[in-house]
Amino acid sequence: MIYVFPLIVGCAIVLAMVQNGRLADYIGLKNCTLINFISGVTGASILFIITKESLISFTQFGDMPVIGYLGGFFGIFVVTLSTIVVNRIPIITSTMLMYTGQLVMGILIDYYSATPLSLGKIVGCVLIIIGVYFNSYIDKKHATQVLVEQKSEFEDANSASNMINY
Amino acid sequence: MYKSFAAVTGMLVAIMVLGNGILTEYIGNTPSVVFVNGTGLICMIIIVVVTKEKWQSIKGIHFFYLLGGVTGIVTVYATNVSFLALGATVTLMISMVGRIVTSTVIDHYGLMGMDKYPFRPAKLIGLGIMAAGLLLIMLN
Repeated sequence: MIYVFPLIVGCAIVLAMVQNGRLADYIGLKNCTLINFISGVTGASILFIITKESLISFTQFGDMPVIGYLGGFFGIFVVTLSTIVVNRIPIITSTMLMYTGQLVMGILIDYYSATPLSLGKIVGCVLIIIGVYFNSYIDKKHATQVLVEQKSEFEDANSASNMINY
Repeated sequence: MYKSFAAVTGMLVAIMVLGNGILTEYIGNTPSVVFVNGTGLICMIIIVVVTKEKWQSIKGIHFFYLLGGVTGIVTVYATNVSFLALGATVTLMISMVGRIVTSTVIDHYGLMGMDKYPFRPAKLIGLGIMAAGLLLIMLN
């Protein structure tokens, strides 16, 4: 039963992108990101009131590294960019490449905190990218096939009408 | 071009997750979610005002599409529960299955008015290569 939770994680990540993608169609990108954060802060505040979670070690808030304050700032770029992307390329491509980017950044962060590079992870990233490009090649191949078929139908219709004219 | 946008987004996600993790250590779970969404909202209001973007009415838009932020919160809490109970690797593995299946289904049917990218048997090859990559990542 507990396995439902990671499944929910996967679905919710995709769903949030689709919701924002559709919303942006109606009201534009900036307003979409704005609404995303309004609903986020509203939901989180309600949770905060319900759970009555206390602010642990609030006194140490001042010692926090600057990066701790910047989650929301990076969040607006994450939401806006993923909204642009999801409306332009297949969702599977968006999610897989986002995950790869996240991983590459993770590897870089590890590297600069003196953790040795993992060759397996790098090869894994390369494989994901190959898979993504293979499937978009298939999408393209079928898209041009449909175009060619439409074109030949169009030409058939043209030659038929030419014959009638003759 | 949009593919590189997707990769850049992922890189920003990694930085964001790092920052949010540190914040959570300092002030706890729910407060940090409130803080992140609150600061994001403030930044966004400033951007909208400075760029003189027009405020748009949300009348007539399906309510569900307005709740992207709430879905984001669901992600955070489901991740926490799953991490504590199952650990990082299993969480990642099953959530990737969830991501791939959900994405493929929405792509195939064009659900919720998204563009259609029909599933074709040949795409199993690409998905297989991706799955191999994911396994390699999780085992390392």
